[in-house]
Amino acid sequence: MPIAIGLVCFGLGYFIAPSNTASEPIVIESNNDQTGNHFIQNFQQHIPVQSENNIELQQQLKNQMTQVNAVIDQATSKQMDQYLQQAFSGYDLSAIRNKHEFAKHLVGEFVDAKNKPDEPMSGRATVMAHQEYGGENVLPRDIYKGQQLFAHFDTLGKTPSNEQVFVRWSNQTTGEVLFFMPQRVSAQREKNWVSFSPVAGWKPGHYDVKYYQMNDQLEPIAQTSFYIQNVIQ
Amino acid sequence: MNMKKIVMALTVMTSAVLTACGGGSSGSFNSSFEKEFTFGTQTYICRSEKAANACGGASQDCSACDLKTPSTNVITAVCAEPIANTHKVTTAGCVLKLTNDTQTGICTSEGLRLLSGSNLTKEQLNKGALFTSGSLKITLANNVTETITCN
Repeated sequence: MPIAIGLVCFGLGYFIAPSNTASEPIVIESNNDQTGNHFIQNFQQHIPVQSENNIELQQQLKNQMTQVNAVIDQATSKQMDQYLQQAFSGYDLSAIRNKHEFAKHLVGEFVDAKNKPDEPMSGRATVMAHQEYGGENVLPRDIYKGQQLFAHFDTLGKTPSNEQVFVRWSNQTTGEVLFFMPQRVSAQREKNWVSFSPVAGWKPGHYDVKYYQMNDQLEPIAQTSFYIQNVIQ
Repeated sequence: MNMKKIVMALTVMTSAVLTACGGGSSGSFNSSFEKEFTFGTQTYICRSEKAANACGGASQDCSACDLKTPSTNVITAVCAEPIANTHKVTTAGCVLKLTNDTQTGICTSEGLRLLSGSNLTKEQLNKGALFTSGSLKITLANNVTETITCN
């Protein structure tokens, strides 16, 4: 699922595990599927994965970053591979050498989901209402509620070509992450795009988009902000 | 709680959350992954991941892809209006005579694409707005709703 990134799950796991075991001691045997399944079924219904809870989840994780990072450090390489493969199934994670490092950067970028204007970027990005780059570069202030918006980015040849990038769309006003996932692009081109529209539709406000390389440090490529003044229902 | 136990719980919880994550969607998305497909004598260039997936999939739906040799056929057919104020857009593309303006639309594997104006080709519609839901409702000043739909 786009919004709930795999590494958030690390944080969720951390929060849920101690709160549960405090009230009901459960012996978890990692090699016992039945116990695991039972455990999952018990808690699946309590796990907040809806977008309206994202901001709360981000805040909780932010307040517990030291512990979350400690949990990441404690995970074995095998576990880490497994989590990431599950979270980002269908994507090639082989270029990520240090998955613990990658995980920490992911959580960091998830909890602090506003663009930092002073952060140096090697490329540039802009959001447009259509797929073709160029022409009218200005995003209309009136956007249809269910319209796809296209975040174009240009590496300017300054980042290694890669068929995958990581992208984050967030609400600048609330800081809420709307979309945070790897995406496939054309490696032979410097200009690419990722389009998005929220399931509940656009709302008036300021939004941020940020692109990252799929590497250990999740190095930023480009970022941009845009404003929707009016939403056509 | 000791760290070992947390990590153990984490293993299970991660799976749980991921399972839950897989059940829903927070929105619609696509990206500029480009791929070419040749079927018989026709070569298609798919300029998005969803278009490529549909064209390369079992259904071979290349409706969202461009022909390598682009057609110059202008879309002239007028969209049907089977019910008052409901306009049905086709996969070949058609012209919508709406109350306030004229638009040209096409339905593809990516959704409904609309661009203001007429005398447009399919390729020109790539400059239009995309609605992955496949429909759009426009509320007019008199509270009448016009529906443009692929369905």
